[in-house]
Amino acid sequence: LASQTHLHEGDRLSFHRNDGTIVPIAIENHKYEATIHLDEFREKGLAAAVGIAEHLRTEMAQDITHKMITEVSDACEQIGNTVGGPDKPLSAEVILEGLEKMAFDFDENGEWIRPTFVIHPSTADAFKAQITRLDTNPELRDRMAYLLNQKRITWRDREARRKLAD
Amino acid sequence: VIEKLVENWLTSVNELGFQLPFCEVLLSKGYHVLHVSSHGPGEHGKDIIARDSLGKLWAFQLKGGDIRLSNWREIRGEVEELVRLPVIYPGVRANEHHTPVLVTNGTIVGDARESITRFAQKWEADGSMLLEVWAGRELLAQFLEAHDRFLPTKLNDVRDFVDLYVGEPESRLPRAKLSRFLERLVDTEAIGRRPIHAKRAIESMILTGAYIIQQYEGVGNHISAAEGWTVIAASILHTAQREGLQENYFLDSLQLVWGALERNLGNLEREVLDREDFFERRLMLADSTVYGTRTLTTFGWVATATLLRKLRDEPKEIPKNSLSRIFRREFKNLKVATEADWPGIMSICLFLEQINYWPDADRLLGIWSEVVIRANYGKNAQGIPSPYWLPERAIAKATNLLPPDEDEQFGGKSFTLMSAMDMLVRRLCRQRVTILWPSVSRLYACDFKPDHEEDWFLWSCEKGELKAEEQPLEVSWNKWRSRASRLIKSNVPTLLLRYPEWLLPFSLTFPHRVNRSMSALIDSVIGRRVQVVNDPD
Repeated sequence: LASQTHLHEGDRLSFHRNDGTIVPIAIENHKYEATIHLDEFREKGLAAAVGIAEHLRTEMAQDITHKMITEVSDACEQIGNTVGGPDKPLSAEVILEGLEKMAFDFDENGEWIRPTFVIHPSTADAFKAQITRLDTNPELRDRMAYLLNQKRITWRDREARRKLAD
Repeated sequence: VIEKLVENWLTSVNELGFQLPFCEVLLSKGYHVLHVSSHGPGEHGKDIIARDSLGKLWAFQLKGGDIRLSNWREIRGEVEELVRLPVIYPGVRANEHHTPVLVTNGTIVGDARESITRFAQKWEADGSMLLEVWAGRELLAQFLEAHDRFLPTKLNDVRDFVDLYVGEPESRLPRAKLSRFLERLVDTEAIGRRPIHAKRAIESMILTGAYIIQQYEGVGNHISAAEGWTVIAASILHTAQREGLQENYFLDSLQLVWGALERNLGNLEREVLDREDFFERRLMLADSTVYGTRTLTTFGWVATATLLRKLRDEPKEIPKNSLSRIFRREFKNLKVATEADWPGIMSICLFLEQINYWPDADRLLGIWSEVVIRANYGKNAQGIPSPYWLPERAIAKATNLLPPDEDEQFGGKSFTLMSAMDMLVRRLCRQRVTILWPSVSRLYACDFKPDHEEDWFLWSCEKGELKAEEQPLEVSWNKWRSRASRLIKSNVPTLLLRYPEWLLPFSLTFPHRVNRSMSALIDSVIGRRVQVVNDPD
């Protein structure tokens, strides 16, 4: 989903972008609590501890996911890189609009490296249906093919600029 | 527990094994060690020559084990040389008397005691100083006294000490654990900001470390022993930097540790030159998994031994032909497991340059770059384990022996690629850099720098910044050449500039400290291709 950088030591991490911007990553402390009752422990034994571990794991995973989505959403909002909204329900057209705003990557054979979509489980079926529409509706398919072609040209242009100059 | 452990060590070690720790005992008693034997000719039974705090001259001969009458008859000639022949050493007057001491970690048994006393009296009557004998429990008491109050006392430290002492000396030394353990023996809490306490703590720390490392020396694990001595040296440098110590508080100890490192590197070189391959028969089938990494690690250290001799202008000839023959034999077997292998690759490259194998050196730098790039190529690229992953852990990951929760993602970034590219730029390999740059520019370049200078010498530090830098699409060759040819002094630890001989051993032992600036420092001190400057302009 996203590149992971492990901080083995020190107290700071920063990303230095090509355009001169620096993104500092602050270290945050997160605290999770769980209670195990003696009676439950007596009754279930180690299974009770497994339950506690599972509870903590779920809480941490939800917290991290929420934090990540919030940060990505905030960053997108800041630079206007968002589509849809309350008055624009999810559709293949909205997905296409979103794709237009993204930078595409292609592999060594020029094949598109598809992005990963993070969606709420409640909208998963609707999302899949709209993706299928993108593949089957002739007009949308043409728009997608055109978009892909444009993105490939942009990508090739960008890649051609990777060079050693004098 | 600790006293028992020290006793166990002292009674099991041979005379070579307790030579350096005994020197530390002398330092702790205020002696200045003038000379430590390399056990060559012309030393006339004098393993250690020292002056005490009053300026009196002493000469010591070390023996391992009990001395019975039969042993005494065997060694009497050597001891007579110790007693009767004068000390020949720069700065020592030809007719200056010395106190001779026979030191043994065993005891004097039976009639040997009387015979030694009689001979000692006879030699004294002939004009020599009276021979002293330091043996058994007396020696143990001296060792314990040398530790003063700096022996590990906290339960965790005692447990770590025992763990490290009874570890697996045939395996790799647990560098991180040893470094963290020694660090606690010389921390601010133990020392209390007084230089003399720092000196005593350093001496005690070296003794404690020596007990552990001697286990590795005892089984001929030269690389782990060399790493161990380097960890000790790093702890000395950390303390010296943190406390702002003057050289007279730590330099003698640092030099003794250097001697121990050199001895192990010499043993390693001899073993490598003697062997037809690097297989460890006792590991049988599993050996194929680690052979490539062992070869790379071994070559890194052997190359370092050669480069250090050159750096210190030592007269011994580089066995160019033998080493290059072995290198050609094993080149195909070298295997990169992690970016922690980078310092070894650097050493080998610089060694190849020293013996005028320039194209091979450039090729190796290119291969390193390609290995890192290839590991990051394609949609599901895993990347290469970072320098924080020592080879043993990277091998465990590659062979699915690592618990899932200890795994890490490495794709999309590298800690060493830009250092390798800098070296290629300094060597004017423009064509190679031109070909590699499109791939290199896709990766983030990671670089960690500790905030406090003394923390360079810790295994891991609390304060410091990891920078992940996106590379520009287009880069200027001329600007890069200019930038890569200079190193800003404040970006590297001052003590490694003052004691450059420790640079390569430190880099091989603490590979995660070899960031872009440290790589440039190595290319400055050994490669002579970088100028160290005070400020960026």
